Amino acid sequence: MANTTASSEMEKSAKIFVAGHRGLVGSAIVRKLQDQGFTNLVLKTHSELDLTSQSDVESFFATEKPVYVILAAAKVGGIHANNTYPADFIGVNLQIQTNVIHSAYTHGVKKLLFLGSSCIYPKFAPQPIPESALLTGPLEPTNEWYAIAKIAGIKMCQAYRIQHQWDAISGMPTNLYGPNDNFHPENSHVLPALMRRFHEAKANDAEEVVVWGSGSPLREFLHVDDLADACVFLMERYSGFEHVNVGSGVEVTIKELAELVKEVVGFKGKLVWDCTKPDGTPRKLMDNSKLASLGWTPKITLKDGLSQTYQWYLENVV
Amino acid sequence: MAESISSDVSSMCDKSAKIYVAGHRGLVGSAIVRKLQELGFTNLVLRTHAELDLTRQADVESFFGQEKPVYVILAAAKVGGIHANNTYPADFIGVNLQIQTNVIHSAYEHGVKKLLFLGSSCIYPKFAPQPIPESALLTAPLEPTNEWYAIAKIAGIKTCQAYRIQHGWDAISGMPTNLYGQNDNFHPENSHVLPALMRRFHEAKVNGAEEVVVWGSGSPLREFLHVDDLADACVFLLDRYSGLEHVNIGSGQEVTIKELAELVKEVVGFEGKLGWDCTKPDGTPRKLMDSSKLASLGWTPKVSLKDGLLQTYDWYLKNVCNSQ
Repeated sequence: MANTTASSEMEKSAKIFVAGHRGLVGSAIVRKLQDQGFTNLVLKTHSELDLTSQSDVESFFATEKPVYVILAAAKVGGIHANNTYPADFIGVNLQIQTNVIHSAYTHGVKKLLFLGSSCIYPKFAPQPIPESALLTGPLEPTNEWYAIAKIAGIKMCQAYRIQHQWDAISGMPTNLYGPNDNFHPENSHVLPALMRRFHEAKANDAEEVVVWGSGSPLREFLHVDDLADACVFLMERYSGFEHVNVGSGVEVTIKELAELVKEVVGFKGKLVWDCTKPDGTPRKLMDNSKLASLGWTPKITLKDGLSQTYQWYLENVV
Repeated sequence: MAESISSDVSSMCDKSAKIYVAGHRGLVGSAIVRKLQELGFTNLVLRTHAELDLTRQADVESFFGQEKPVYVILAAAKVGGIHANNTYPADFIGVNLQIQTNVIHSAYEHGVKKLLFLGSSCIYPKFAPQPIPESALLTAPLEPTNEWYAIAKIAGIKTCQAYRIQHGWDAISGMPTNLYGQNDNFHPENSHVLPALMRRFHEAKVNGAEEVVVWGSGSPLREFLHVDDLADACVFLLDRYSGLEHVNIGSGQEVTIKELAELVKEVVGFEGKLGWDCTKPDGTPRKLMDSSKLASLGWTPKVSLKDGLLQTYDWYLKNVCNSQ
């Protein structure tokens, strides 16, 4: 499994297709590419290009002929959505991936980056989770549909590399946060959920915010702008067979996270823990040593990232 | 995982119901067609690859829109041995994922009443407990030489389960053990062990050779199921099983490679010597599926290994060696 750190910089005028450019990940990647002077981005909304339609995807690639592809388009959602719409989560994602990867290859795309998620790993993977943990044990049942689709995507990229010597790589991010995240009161992840709750408590002058659990579980968070930075880095410097974990290596307890969010939001009331409620997995941390050994490090501290995110939240969500 | 156990009510009482058998020219598909015809199912829809390319989403959608089959048996796949899997992994994973996603989704959308998806024992971990139960799925690493095909088949099982959960749609999966029988691949270089032995003993007999030497010690244990039994099990499952979990389809009949070779030698009528080259590797010591779930539903295989080999050799004589 050759890793290469040789630089193969993308030409600034090269046409880059970012699939899923309106999502949390895709929009951050677009921002990063634009920051870095990549001017020739091809972006299509879902209504402009339905990635589940094989013939539409083929026509698109034939017409546009992008040089690079970043596949950040997917059907995503939380536990409840996965449990209620499993056919969509596995079927739509498999269809998108199969269509885009195959059309990209057959239309001469030079390199493709496929994005997944830490949920590809076994439920009881060793912590920190190394890339080698893939398919070594049972998946977490609540998101196995999405996980199977993403695993199939990694394997497709590997298979196309072996058979066609085609440059397809996969990156697996840890928990992400930042602008364009989902702050929905019912189905957002823990970080945006906390941010919203502290904000509303502040706005409503509430006395306290009660958080479920003991606060002791350990989690890792990566700001989505760091993720985007890592994606560009991998596109320019990595052409290996194995997928690459993309994390911050920065672990915090849920308690530390909640206290930091409270401080950033400026809620002056009390933070209380409901220890009768479940904690969830004791620890979830990706092993990012492979990416670190390639020479990439995250730049955004959790506190700075939270401040920036809260600013965005105030301007765009409230 | 909520299961509905075998039903005493037959789902397939209507012999005129339109049944689409995808992959009807392959080892499995052709056996299923034979079995359905035997049982009086008269309304079979069959399409060759040239008539319907299952990797073309729009073609598959049109097909289902026009034909509107009631039942679908998905036995179409890109298949091959170790060498093919290693050389064409993109085809093995990509083509199979595309076929499956297209057929399962179109079948659901166009009102198919029930779909049976067929896989393979290679979906299981390389070091699964023996006999291999259905619950071994995704519990440990796959065999690297066929992981591309295996991932695609696992995704197929999971797609069927997902459609059942979300849409209440009746999709089931059957996972056969090693199969043999008519329409098998007898190619001298890439056939599986059973047809390979049959061909070698036959050629040795015809050429008056003194000896056939087989690689290994002959001690590994394997299970074989005649493809007509597989077809019988498929109709049985389609008729009586509507559970979430996939079902292993095996004979439960284990033989050593040595016993197999001796039986094939006898069936073919080769009078020379059978030698063993113990310097060559043996492969996995044992590979046997746990078929107790299917047995508890009430199905048993009918074709003994000896009878199956006789029938297969007869077919081989009429269809393979005459055309070589």
